[in-house]
Amino acid sequence: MKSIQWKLVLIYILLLVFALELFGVYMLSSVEKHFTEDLQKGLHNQVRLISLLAERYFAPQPDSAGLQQLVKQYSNLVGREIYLLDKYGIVVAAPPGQKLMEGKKIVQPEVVSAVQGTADSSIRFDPHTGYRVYYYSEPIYQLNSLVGVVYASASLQNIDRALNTMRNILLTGAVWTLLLSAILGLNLSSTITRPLQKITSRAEAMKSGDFRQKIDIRSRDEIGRLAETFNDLAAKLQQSWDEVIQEKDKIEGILANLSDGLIVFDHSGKVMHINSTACNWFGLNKQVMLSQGTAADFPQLESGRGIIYLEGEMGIVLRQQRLPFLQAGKKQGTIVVLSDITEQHRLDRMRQEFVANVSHELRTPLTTIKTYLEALLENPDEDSAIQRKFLKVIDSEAERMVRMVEDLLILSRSEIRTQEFKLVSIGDIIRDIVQGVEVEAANKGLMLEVRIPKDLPPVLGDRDQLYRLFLNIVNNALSYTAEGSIKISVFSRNKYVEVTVADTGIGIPAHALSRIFERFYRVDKARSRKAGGTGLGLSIAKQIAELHGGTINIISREGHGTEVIVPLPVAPENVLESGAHV
Amino acid sequence: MVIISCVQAYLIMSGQHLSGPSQPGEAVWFGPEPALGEVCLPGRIYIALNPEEVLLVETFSDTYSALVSALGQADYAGAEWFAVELIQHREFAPGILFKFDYPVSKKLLTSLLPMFYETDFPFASIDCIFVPKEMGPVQFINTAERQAWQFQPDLSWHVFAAAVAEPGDALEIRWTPLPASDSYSVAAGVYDIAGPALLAVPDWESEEIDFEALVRSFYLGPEVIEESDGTEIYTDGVRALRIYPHGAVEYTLVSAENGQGQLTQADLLKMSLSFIAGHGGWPGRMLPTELENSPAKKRVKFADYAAGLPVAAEDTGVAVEIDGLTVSRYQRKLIRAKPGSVSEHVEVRPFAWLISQPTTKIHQLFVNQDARIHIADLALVYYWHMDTLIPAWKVTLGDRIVYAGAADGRVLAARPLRGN
Repeated sequence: MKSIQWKLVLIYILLLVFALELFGVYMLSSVEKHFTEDLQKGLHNQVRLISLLAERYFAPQPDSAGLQQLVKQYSNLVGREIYLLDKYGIVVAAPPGQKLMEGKKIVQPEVVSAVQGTADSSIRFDPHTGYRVYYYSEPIYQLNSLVGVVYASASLQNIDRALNTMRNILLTGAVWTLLLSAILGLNLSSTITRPLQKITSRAEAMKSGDFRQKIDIRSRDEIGRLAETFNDLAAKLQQSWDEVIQEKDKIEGILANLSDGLIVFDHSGKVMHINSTACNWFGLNKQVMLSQGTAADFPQLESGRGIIYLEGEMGIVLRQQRLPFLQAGKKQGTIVVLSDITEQHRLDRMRQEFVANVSHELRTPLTTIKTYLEALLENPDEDSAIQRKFLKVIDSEAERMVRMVEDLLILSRSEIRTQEFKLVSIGDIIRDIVQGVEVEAANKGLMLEVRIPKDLPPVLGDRDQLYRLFLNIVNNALSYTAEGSIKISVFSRNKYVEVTVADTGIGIPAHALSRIFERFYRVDKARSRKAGGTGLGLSIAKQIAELHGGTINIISREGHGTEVIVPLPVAPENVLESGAHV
Repeated sequence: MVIISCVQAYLIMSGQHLSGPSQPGEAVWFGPEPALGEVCLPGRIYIALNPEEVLLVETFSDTYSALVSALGQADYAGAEWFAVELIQHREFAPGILFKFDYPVSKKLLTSLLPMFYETDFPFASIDCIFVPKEMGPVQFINTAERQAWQFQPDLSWHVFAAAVAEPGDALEIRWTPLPASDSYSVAAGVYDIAGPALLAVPDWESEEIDFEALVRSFYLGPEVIEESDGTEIYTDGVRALRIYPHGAVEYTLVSAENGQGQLTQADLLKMSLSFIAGHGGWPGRMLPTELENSPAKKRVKFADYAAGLPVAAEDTGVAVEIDGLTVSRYQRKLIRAKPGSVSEHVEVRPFAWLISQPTTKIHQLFVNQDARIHIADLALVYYWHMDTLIPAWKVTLGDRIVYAGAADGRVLAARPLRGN
């Protein structure tokens, strides 16, 4: 019974049943009362009439013959059982068929009452006929003296039968009325419920987010006004919804493009919102998190520490910041803002390592210098050869410190002077370097092969720094190549000028390949120092290459040699057309 | 349709007919209905020659008609009414005393005196009108209240003067005021005969009625019950018309109205006259001798007049009883005197003499009373008894009417006096 239409019909039927029942009861009782009163009135009149007619037969003594003839004919005429009794209640005249009653005394209550001077009546059930019978008794007076009694009865058989018939008619009529009314009620109620169903279906559609619903009901009644209000409501909801969607899209766009991660938990720990950045960091599905994610899915956050390390010390480093999520002044949950500080953290580490390395690298020659100087101071009379030897060592260490400082200055300078580039010929730089190291290569018995094409395009850069870049690479090749050759080749390819320095030296172990560009990193520290390296050569080279838009790729096999490839971008054509100096 | 159905259902349930029933009596016509003025007449007219000598005018005689007609022409002259207390009979002589057998209301009186309005009369009812011989004020008298209202109307005085000077159509019996005694008091205007006198008793015959027409005036197709003595009852179960073998007619309707409804004397008389005219006809020469108009009972009885005197008995005359607004009882048995016939002469004696004789029944009836009796009226009538007209005194007491033989003082009947 979920439909209001059925409810209306049910109420309608119930009311109808109640009304019909009430009407039936009232009708039957009224008809019974009317018929009974009519019968009683008729009998009373007949009794009164016969008492008037019989009056003259009672004085001075009841004239039985006269009374019997009167009763006989009158009873036949009116169709009632009428008895005439003397003043003692003894039957003087009985109706036809009841002659045996004559001479007998009737002691019914109504007769006793009439003998005492008061008319009386009663209704009793007649077991022989199965119907009720109305009995009435009235005294007969003559000159104010009671001389006899009229006792009459009338069967209520016809009334009872009529009432039964009427009851059946009413019942049948009620059933048909209810049936027809139910059908009519269904049709009529549908005129009310159909518009409501329309409104409901539109509201259902609105529930699913479609606010463009419009109801076409033009009646002026309450339903019509409801439809108008619904249409207005739908329009306003559509407008509000559009604004909300726009705001939501805006916020979601902001949150999605936010470099920081954002997670909002409610007071029970359920994820209320999470942006894509956070999902990516934690490797979680955003939709799953929004639907069923909890704080338990983020165990890293539970420690409450400010710094969170994902995937170990070398992975992503996040800084966690917790803020209360307030709505209407009440805390509804917690906002967790995660910032990626991986690079910052790496730079911090590098700086720390750099400072430690610089300190370490500077302390070593200083310690040596201090040691030899203390020895000279403590032994001024030492042999001059020894003193000279000590001073050479001091000078050598000082020279190394100078180189180290120069390298550090170069590193810092290259970091600073990034915008003062000019057109530079790589071929010229390589030729200058080869010219400078030819002697040393020859001294070490190494074959130096150089290939430089004539039409090599210039690059945009700082000539000194590029010179330092390639000099460091060539020096490294010379330092770690004991025999064999060093091949230097330059060529242009895909708008890059690519310089390759290949040697047949000791090569680099595989595990060290990833760290060889770190400052002060040495594969073999002792050998490196012996070779006079500062541990900053490749770092400087890589930094210079990257500052010029290039890179350094090293292909090495331990014991077989190393190939260093430096591609640098050719100067843009607009720069070339401007005629920058090479 | 719904409204009509509801109305029809209401009418059925309230027991009313949907269309008017046919009136059985409409097709039967017994003659014209008399006007109220024809029956609202005094029962007796006394001519007071002097305070001690009075004559009784024969009712319906020429003199009676002339006097009534002259009285009926009385006109309101604009003079003032004034009330006087009634003291003695001498106030009524010489002159004409019109006497009614019942208190006449002022409204009914306008039927007799058509030049007056009901509001002209300062009283509620009267039973006597005295017109003095010499143009004095006319007295309107209520003997029961011992009050009289005097008034000087315009009258044909010569008619009354002539009647006093040369009385005509009067019984050959001298009357005199009935004196009071220790055992009874007497109202004003009560006359007894002055001495024994012979009274001619007329021969009589019963009224002949067309019974078939009478039955048809009541029913369309009644059932008939024949009683053991030959009486026939025509009835429909609620009403009964009984026709006795000796010609008397008795109609009874059991009414459930139980005295509901009020009627004026005029309305009661009009209804009665209309009913009589429609059911047997108005025989003429009848006057109302008994009129009761109380909430409990409304009844008027008309008596026939023989040789100037009323024929009285319980079962003679025409009586109409009304319950509510319906005639519930109608009795009719008329003993009509044969004009000019005399069956015998009977010596009648003064009532005062009869009541003084210890041997008479009337004396015994009066003596046996606990309190002093008040005689309100005394009239000489023919009493119908055992198929014989018997000269009798109709003595109206305070609470009953007694009929006593005017010759021998035997008590013929006594019945309680009903209120008016």
